[in-house]
Amino acid sequence: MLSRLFDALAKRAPLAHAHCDGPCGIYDPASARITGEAVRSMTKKILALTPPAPGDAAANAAYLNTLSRYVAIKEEQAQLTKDELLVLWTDYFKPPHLEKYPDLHDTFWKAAKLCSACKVEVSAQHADELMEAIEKIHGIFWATKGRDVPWTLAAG
Amino acid sequence: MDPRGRLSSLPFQLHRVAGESMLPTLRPGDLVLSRRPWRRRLPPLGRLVVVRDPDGSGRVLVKRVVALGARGFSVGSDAPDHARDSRRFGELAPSALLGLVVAVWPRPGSRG
Repeated sequence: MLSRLFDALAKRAPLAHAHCDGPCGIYDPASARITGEAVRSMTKKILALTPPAPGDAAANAAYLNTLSRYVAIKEEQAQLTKDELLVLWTDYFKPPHLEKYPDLHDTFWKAAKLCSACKVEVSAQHADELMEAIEKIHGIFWATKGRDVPWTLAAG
Repeated sequence: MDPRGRLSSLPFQLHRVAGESMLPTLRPGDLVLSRRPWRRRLPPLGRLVVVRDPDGSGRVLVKRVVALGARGFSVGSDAPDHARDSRRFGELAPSALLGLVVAVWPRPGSRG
């Protein structure tokens, strides 16, 4: 009886959220930094590759295989970087942050654009600029939390 | 129910809890009855409250008042590592307060 009344009320009652939204409040630009570093590393490796001598079929196959893998990883990691940045941008950052950092939207927009540029091109310059953009976001992110977290790269 | 909708003048409102951030106090599916605040007064510290999510989504949240400030109040979750609350969105203005929880009806079968 009571449980029927409960069900009837529960059906009509609007929701009040006590949600764990997304990854439970755990955000860290380190994930974008790591994938961004992978993009820069692959970009440099592609640029450093030396094509084999003409007529050496085995060397040519190995070269194409290595090049394809580098390109595939660069493509994948650039997309992951973009995804990580968009999560920070749309989920972590809130309007009060924008008041304090008026160029926040522009920073994220340019960083996301650089992810695309790193896919389309093999540009060491754009890979460097992507890392600079992620470093800037790292600085803003930790400043909003009142913490001084040093920017440290995995690649030496 | 839109908090600004036609039922907004009723002194009491009923909400159904979604999510687990208020465990163990509130479980998903529990009903919470809240009364509207009298004026734009700050809620008492420690009180369960129904608030409007400041993200502009119109979503309603149920939380606990964990701090009172000069101009607003902060809310937290009873399961603090799992939620969206003032650690994420900062202090709330008194106008975000939709109700003070006066009764909780646990979902039948959800306890013991």
